[in-house]
Amino acid sequence: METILGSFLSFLLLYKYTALFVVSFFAAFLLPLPSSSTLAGSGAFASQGYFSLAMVLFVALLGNIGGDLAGYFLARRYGEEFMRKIGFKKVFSSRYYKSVVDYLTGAPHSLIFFSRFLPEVGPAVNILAGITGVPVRTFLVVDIIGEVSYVLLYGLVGFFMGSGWENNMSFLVEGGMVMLSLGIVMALIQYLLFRAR
Amino acid sequence: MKKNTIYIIVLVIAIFIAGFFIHLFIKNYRHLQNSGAFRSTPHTYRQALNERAPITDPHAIEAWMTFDYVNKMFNLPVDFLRTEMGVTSTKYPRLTLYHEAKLQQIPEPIFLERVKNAVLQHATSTPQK
Repeated sequence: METILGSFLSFLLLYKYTALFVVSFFAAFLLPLPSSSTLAGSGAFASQGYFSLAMVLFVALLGNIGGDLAGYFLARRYGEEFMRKIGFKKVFSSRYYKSVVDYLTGAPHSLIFFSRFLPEVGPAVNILAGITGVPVRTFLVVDIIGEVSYVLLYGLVGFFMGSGWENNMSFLVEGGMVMLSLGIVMALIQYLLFRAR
Repeated sequence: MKKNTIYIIVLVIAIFIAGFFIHLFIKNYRHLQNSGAFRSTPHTYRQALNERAPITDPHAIEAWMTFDYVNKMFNLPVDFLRTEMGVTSTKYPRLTLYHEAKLQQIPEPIFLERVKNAVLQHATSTPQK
């Protein structure tokens, strides 16, 4: 029986770097695809000499940053208008929305950085950052730092685990949990500092 | 003030949870390091960057793999598996074992077993360098 991860690995072996770019881009943009496993798998294929490690890291980085920016700019340009049309008009005039905007535009760094390690959360953060108007330069700088760390971490874990990477997926999941919990801690600290101001 | 106290309590709980996950992560990392799951020790990472370790055990072959990948991992001649497995598809070797099993209407586990046997046979009949 073909598993979901198996299908993605087949796609990767058949279309190589194009497949890696497509999965990374769409996972970062909007779709819930197993991009971390695909990246770790690509790292493992590089350790076997089937892929080039430098190309894996470069293409994954390009796909992730491209997807993040596409989500951010689309939300920045059309996000609020679209949300108003589908019935969220009241949200934008609420007091809470104003405080979310103030918080995000004032201290979005930890939220953007740590969400890079959680592909399930990342696209929502990109859209939120775009809608609330987080400055382009801030988003770009934090996004690049976050994506470089993410791609290096997962790509190199796959590379150094080599052929046995599939049996040690729990290690990657734990890595994601560490980043999620650290992200929550940082966001809470930033929020407390934001309230104190 | 009351709200701030709640946030501080939540923060302390979050720090404990983060500490717990960091502890689990480090413990698992050490376990993997000791069990040899990583191809290198902290002292040989640079060396491992330049080494390649293809699959050597034919039993590790899986249905999602392509013929091209299997050929390269086991250093097989390009047409070896095409002849052995009776592949007629023009997509060979950019074709997964799963799809070929489906095309030939052979149950996947049986097809996979035949591929493994063919690779094993080739490995034993070819002198190792």
